[in-house]
Amino acid sequence: MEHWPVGMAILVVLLFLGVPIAFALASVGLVGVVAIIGWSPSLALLGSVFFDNGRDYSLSVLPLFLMMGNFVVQSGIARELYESAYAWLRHRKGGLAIATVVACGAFSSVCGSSLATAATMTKIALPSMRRYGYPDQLSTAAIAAGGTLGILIPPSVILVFYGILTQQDIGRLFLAGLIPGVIGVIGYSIAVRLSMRFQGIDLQTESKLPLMDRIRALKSTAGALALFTFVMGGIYLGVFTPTESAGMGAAGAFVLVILKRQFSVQATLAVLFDTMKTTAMMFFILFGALTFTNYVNMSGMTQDIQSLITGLTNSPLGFIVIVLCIYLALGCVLESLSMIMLTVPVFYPIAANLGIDLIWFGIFVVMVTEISYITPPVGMNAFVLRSVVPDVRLGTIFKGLVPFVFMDVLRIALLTAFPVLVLFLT
Amino acid sequence: MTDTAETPRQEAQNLASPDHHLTPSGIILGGIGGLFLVAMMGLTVCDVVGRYVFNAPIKGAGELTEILLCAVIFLGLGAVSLAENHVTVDLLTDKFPDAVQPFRQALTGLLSGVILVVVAWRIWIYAGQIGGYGGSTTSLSIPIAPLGYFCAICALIGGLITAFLPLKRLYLQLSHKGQN
Repeated sequence: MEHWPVGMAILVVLLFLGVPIAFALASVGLVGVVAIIGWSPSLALLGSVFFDNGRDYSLSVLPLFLMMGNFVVQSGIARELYESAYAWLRHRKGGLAIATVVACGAFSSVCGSSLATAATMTKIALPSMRRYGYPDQLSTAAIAAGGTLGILIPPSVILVFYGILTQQDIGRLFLAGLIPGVIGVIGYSIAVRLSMRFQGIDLQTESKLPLMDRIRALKSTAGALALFTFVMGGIYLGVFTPTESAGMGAAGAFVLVILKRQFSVQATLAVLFDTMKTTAMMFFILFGALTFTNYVNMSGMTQDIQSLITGLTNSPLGFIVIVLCIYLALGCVLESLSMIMLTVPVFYPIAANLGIDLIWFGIFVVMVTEISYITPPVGMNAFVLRSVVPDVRLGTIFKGLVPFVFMDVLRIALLTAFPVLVLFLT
Repeated sequence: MTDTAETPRQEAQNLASPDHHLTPSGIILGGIGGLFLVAMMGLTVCDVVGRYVFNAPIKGAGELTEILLCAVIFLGLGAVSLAENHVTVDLLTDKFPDAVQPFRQALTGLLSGVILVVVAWRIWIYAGQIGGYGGSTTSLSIPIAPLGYFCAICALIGGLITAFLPLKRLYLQLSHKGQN
């Protein structure tokens, strides 16, 4: 009997009523499983989903990477990254906006969250760009788009979740995100120039700094560079596992806080409290998604969707295009983490069947998710910006983002045509 | 009554201006949870350093991490529930008329509370089963059942808070209307 469409419909209704995503998933998953295998086994399953997964050693990376990101924000290195990027780019047209994109990329290499990257960079980059007469449409778009790199350039909280859901090596996923991230920085820099041309923005530039001054400006990035090299180098050389790298990275970020003289008991307690809250929030969504996944697997939904898609196309490329469209549509409704948790369990077996490399697929999923961060109506990064600078209209931000989204689509096409760009580091 | 249920928009707001001023419950929960988190971090560092420098990794670092992780998650549930911080889809809920909001929140809160209470019940029973055969961690032989009972109690409290807060708002609003 096919009752998964009913289950999906109920889930959508619950979500739109405003039931927290975690509990909507868990309740529909539980009731669905009960309908298939009966009360007693499904209730037993529920207890073990919540308790056993909560004690999964490999999941300990999440709170530790979150903690690392929060400490990095507290350390205040974002400003230094921004200043040294500007020292190198100030003589170029739109230099401040390009420096913003570059600094976002650099900050992403020590922070695994897009929202934290966007929130931090807004406070630092937006006032400078306003002072130099950059129109809000360009400056907010550069920050919102640059912020999305947070989940692509390792470490990345989203890639951790993907790795857990698909049982792929998190270290390999991290390495695979590096080059697409750098391509993203280049693409967004081009998008800055495109915006300037199409919006007829003319900005004055400053004189070029002497080489020695520029090199001196790099000195202040040492902390971030050291932390990134430490974490990624450790994973790459196998000195520690990806799981351990999170703990080492968090400790490294804490040392950075102390070295930058930003330590205070109050602020540290707030960071820890915040980390714990985000951890609980994310894990309960994960538990809900796992409960729901049990239902998805038992109900035959994966097979049905698979035959639906293979009925439409049999080529991996066709599948990728379909998935891209589904994600763009879902991104209009769902926030990114829930979108990944809901869809990846359904899509990744199909991708594997079609012979698509699951590491590549992970990077693809993250890049599509990045687009959902900056497109209306649920563009989280635009919301973050808006709450820092309430006087900018959401419409202005989204309009400014058009060239950046265009570059995103181009990047996805590029990496689909040349998967080696993703895979050759891994 | 203000709408305190968390939406992506409000979450964005919190991110943008992190509040360093914690409430008393925040200080207690943050203190204990923070201690667990720092312990997780410290265990990893000591384990890795011990392994390479002293050729002596910490015995059972992995299983201690597992226990701490579980405790942080379920302790955090209390904090999330108190702040009504659960992630929701706010695309349509913002557009509901104001008069409906308290009823909607009471309904969603009740459903969330019920599912959490069911989870609490099942973890409690599961913990009992684990205790029944003396389940414990492999290298340090720490019994697992007490952790299960702890998680069950946290889930129960979280569920009660999640259901209670919006119901209280609804009750206050209704009784306020009754007085007018």
